[in-house]
Amino acid sequence: MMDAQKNLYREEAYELLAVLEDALLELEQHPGNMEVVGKVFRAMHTIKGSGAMFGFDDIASFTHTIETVYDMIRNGRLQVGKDIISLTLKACDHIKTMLGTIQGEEKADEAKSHKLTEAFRKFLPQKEEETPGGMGKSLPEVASDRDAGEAGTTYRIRFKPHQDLFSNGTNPVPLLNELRGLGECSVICHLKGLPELQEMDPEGCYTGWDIILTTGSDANAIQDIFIFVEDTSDISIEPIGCILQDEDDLAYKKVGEILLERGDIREGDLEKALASQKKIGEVLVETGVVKRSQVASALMEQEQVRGTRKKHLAGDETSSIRVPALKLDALVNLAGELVTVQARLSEFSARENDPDLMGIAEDVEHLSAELRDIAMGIRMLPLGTTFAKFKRLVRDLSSELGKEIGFITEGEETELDKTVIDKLSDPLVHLIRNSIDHGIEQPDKRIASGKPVQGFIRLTAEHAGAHVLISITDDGAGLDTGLIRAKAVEKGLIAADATLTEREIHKLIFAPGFSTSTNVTSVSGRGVGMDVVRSSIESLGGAVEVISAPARGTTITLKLPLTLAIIDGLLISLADESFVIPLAAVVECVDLTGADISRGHGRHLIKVRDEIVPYIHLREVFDTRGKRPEREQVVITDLAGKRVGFVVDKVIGEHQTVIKNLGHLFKATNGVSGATILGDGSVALILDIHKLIQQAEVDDAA
Amino acid sequence: MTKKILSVDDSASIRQLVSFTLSREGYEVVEAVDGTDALDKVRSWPVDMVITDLNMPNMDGIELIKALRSDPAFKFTPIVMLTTESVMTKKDAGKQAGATGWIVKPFKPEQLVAVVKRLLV
Amino acid sequence: MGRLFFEDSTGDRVLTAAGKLTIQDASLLKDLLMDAYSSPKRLLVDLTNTESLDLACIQLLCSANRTFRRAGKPMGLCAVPAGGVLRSLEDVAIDPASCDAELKGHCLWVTGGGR
Repeated sequence: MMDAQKNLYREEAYELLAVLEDALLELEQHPGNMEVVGKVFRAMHTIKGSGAMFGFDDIASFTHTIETVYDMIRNGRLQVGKDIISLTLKACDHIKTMLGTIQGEEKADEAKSHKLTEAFRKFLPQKEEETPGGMGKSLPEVASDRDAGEAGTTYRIRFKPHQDLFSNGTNPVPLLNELRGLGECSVICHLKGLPELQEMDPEGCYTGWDIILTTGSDANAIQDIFIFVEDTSDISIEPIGCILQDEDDLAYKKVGEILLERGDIREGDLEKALASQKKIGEVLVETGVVKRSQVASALMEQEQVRGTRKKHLAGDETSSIRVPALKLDALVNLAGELVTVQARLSEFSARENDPDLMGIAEDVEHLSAELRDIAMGIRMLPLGTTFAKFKRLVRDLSSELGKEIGFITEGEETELDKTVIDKLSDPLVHLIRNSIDHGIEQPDKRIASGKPVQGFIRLTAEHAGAHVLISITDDGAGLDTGLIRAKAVEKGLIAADATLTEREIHKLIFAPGFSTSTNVTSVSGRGVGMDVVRSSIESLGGAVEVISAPARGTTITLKLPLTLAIIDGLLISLADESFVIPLAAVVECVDLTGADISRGHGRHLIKVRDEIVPYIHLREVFDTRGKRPEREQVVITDLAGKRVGFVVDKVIGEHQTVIKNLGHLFKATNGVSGATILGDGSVALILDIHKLIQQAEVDDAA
Repeated sequence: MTKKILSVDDSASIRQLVSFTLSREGYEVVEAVDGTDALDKVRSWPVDMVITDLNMPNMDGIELIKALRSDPAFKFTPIVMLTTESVMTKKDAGKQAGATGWIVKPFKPEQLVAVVKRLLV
Repeated sequence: MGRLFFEDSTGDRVLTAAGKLTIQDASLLKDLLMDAYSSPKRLLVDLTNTESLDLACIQLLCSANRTFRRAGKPMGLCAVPAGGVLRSLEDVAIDPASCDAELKGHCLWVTGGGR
């Protein structure tokens, strides 16, 4: 067997294992979700099946028993429990080891395979072992067609049983589970009909449900589920959005419209609520027109319809090819160069004033810009896989610490440059560990302070202009300003009597060598913490911010550039040389007048809006020849809250910069992070202001 | 924990079909030949569900359902009746008596499994 | 069938619900809750040994929490309920965030009740 094919299998298997892990964690949350069970089964099946084909017989035989177990779960003959899930996660890890050791001479740990297989066997009835996938056909309408079922229509289902629902032995839970098995399903329960305890018939049903279901099955299949309760319930099933609608029909129904459509409110209520400028849902709840759960249910519907449409528009993700990252980098590089050449062409044609040439130049400009965007786009990856990794982290660490933590991710579809994503993993691990370890309190403490037992950590990503914001939010204890302050004084980071705002104190956690953890745990590190996070984010051209409220929790936001290869820069000049300052760091530009300098008393200080800002003279840094111009300009930058000015001859303007790596000859050049080629073909150096500031501080100290 | 199901039918072939289909799905099935036999069996063998034919000698399905429902231990136990399309009145009588669901004969094994899953937690 | 019983300590009345609680237990559960309602003692519900709760029992506990609260009587959970309880709540899709019972912040399942 050729190694290339084996590698392909290995790559595929790693991907499947990631899918598998994700599905397992979801299964832990919703053990009744047959769709997820199906996912687990299929992933195992593929790992096993192609394992045998590619000569990984040990993996094939190892996964055989696991597959059988999940086949039974799929057919409802076995209940999924924490034990099976934990065991399967262990098995995933073991498969990874097996994939890793395959190429080497050493055999994977056979004793371990045996032990795990035995553990799985315990779940099987005695004679069952030899028939993997044998009974798979017993309930075809539930599990098997899921792959092909490209989740077509979204239905709004209202299920309001009569009070006597239970009296003939009906339990609504299996019905809800059957609906959940049909597709993507959100269920919300209404308890508004619940009477006071005294008046309650203990054997009566007072609960109703709103269900939003996106499924490939038709309305009849849904109707069929309710067939036994038709006489004892009010049921309505309405399609609310076929995802195959025209693209321009993308306006989502407003919450008010949904409530109106459902008959929860009347036209008059809606108009009244709209008249006040607040969120419609809030108004309707406040005025007692609807219950909170009705609004939540309408919001849920909106959310699911939106999600389904997005998915549909995203198209078929499976038709893709694999390309080595290096080839992509080369493509991006070439596209960047083409943009540069095109700029020269445009300049030349403008000079020649030849209408034909100008026409061609314009076409080339459009095409090359488009080419560059596409090339950059190819390197963009959704954050989903990175986020998924953290689910396991949160699960493992929280159980290790005896904390209950829910983990919510949002914006997995947000895309970032692959290079940025690769460098993001470690800082995020660190931040999430911190939230688990220091942020979320122990369950008893949470109960004592009136919080839900289960804490949560929310990991979100969203676009904001040319940046992506990634936030980690926990609902834990918040930062302890007193403790941080004391620690900072102890470490000599601030004077004991320094007056600091709360924000400034929070920022101290990013100071080098800072850690408030009084005892070192295995979870979050030993003082090599947040400063490393900060510097690695800043090295990506990003920034870190922290917001925290006592007892309410902490949010840490990472602001990252969409891509590393193109930055928005500010073009400046020193004599006849051009430089680029990353625009993200620039706050403002001011003139440097003689008066300002003298006020600095020979030290490099300038007063900007009543604030004293130190500045660095770039002419001095780069030994620029020639006379200083009469009127110099200062570019004020802000890095991690610290303002520093850079004196330049002239600010030319904003410039979108394609970064080119400097050859190794320039490695020694401090304070420069790269170069770019300008429209006229000349080279401009991109300043690494972080380094420049550090260097200046060193020089000052010397 | 294995769920226990009582299959009540005077036809041995139907009992066998029910028994075979459901035990293959991991349920434990016990058989009874009519209503009287069924009441006798459940006294010593508490079940999670009863699947009963309607037309049977001695005690028929309707009577069995009524008897089970009047026993506090079976007040909320899911009961499935096996009926034929032609006798809708029988189905309604069964519903009145307190049946939870029904299966129309003839049925395919997977239909039986689907109904059991729909009614058993 | 589950097991339901009271244990009284000074000031508290602990209602323990163990095993699988179903509608078969609902009448007894209501009687015990009513009994606790007329007692001056604080009611604590112990769900640490509960394997599962069906909708009938969940409804009763929700209603009791609201009724107790309206009357200004203390009621709550005495400890974090067993995982089976949380799964049971998930099964019937009870979402504390959108609870109707005008109990924002006092839902029995979120905060352990208003103790």
